[in-house]
Amino acid sequence: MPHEVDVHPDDLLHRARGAGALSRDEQAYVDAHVQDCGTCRFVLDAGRAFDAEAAVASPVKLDRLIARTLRRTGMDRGRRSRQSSRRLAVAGLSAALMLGGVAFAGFWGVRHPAREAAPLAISAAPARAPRSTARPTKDDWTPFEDFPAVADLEPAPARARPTALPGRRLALTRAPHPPETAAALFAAANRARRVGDAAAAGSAYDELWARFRASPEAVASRAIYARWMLDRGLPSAAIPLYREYLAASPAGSLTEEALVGLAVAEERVGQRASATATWRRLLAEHPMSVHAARGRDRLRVLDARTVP
Amino acid sequence: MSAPGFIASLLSRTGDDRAAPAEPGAVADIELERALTLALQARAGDPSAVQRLVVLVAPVVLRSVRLVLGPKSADHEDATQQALMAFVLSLPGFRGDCHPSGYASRIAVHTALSWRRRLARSRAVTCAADAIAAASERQRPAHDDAGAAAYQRRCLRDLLDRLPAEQAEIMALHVVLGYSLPEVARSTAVPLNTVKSRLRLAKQALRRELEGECHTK
Repeated sequence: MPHEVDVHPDDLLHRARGAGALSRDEQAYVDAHVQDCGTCRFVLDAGRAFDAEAAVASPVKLDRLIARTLRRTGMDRGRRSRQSSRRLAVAGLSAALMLGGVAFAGFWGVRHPAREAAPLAISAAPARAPRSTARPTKDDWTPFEDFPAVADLEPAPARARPTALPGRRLALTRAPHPPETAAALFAAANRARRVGDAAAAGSAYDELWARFRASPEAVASRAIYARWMLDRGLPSAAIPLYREYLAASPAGSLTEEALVGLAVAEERVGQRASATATWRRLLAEHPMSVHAARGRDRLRVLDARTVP
Repeated sequence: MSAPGFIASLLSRTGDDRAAPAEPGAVADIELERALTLALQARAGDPSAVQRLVVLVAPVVLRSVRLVLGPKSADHEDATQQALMAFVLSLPGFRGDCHPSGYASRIAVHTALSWRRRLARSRAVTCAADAIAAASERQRPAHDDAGAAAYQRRCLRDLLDRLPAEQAEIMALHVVLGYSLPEVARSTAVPLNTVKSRLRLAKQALRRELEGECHTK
């Protein structure tokens, strides 16, 4: 390789990427430089190669991507309110049909008691909803630096709630599309997360939180989702999720992990005062926590930084 | 910076301080002012402004992610969405020092570089075969122009994985995405001389890579 120099005409080289952007003298200077400097020659050629690659159209559908992003960041309020109205209308219609069905069944039961026996024998079996298969496991946490993984999630998700009444009412109350349970949504979200489908996982976690906020799955999902955001390098997104978990479950057994995650996220976005408060809270509420030593270390660092 | 400070800086900025987009002159200035005003409204939490701003910057973000990840990556869509989300979440930190697209580009580069490094780490643990294949691919001589261009792009992207984050960011913005050095300085909020210094160090690393390769051949 020819002799290399450390002074590079970077501005001229940048302009030289586009054809005809240099004067004759400038072009001569650049030509002379790249003759001697293999690095600049390489950078110039590579820059042109990147420009050529950028000119190729992408198959990604941006409009869909934008819509998903806005939905995830809660910036699609117009659409959301329209969807809510639509959901309300559908729910109202379903309720009306259900009431009508119940009334008709009562009327039919009074008028035709004998005809009821056969179907009742089939449908009288208790309508147990399938057990939730979505009990969180160790897999629900991915390793993150020295932030230890959580053994299990608490509280254990409740079994799927029955979506229909037992006995003969089962047939009457069954909707054309059975409503999803919290457990089913939780499982779907975790599956999507494990395969790395960020969009599907995010919308399932958000839907779980929006529809089943009081369920243990929804509460646990906030901490899982937050941790995932942190792992993906999005501490700003993790912070509100951790706060939602802590507000919903201030004394759950994920609280320690949520506090550690929140403190880490706050430090990463430069919220040192909040991070200090979170570490202090961890030490005050969980002095015997396995994260206590780390908390004390971080507090020493943070306190040292605040001293003028 | 407070909103009034932001507005003041917007109004007091001179032409020389602004990002120099491809199209010079008044049209570019008007476009810049509109984009900055939109960013200001979005920063204040106006959802419709956020929507319009995301529509405005999305092509730039996608382009940045594609160029850093490479054309064969299957993660363009996910990484672009992550970058767009990061952009929306980072709007409160936007000070109006550059075009919002420049700010979005920087976030996209960060996202894509992290993505590459994370993938590289997981590959190193789970699939050494990929690394072997990539290494043998790099040694393959390029016989035609297309092959040479692909080789250069691959070398540059590989280098981005190994450079310190600050140098990789400058290299990606300047060489891969084609931003001028003043534009890079504005979008990264780093002094121009620091940008030049980081680029020089990155080029030294590139030179070592190229020399190493020459020696091994």
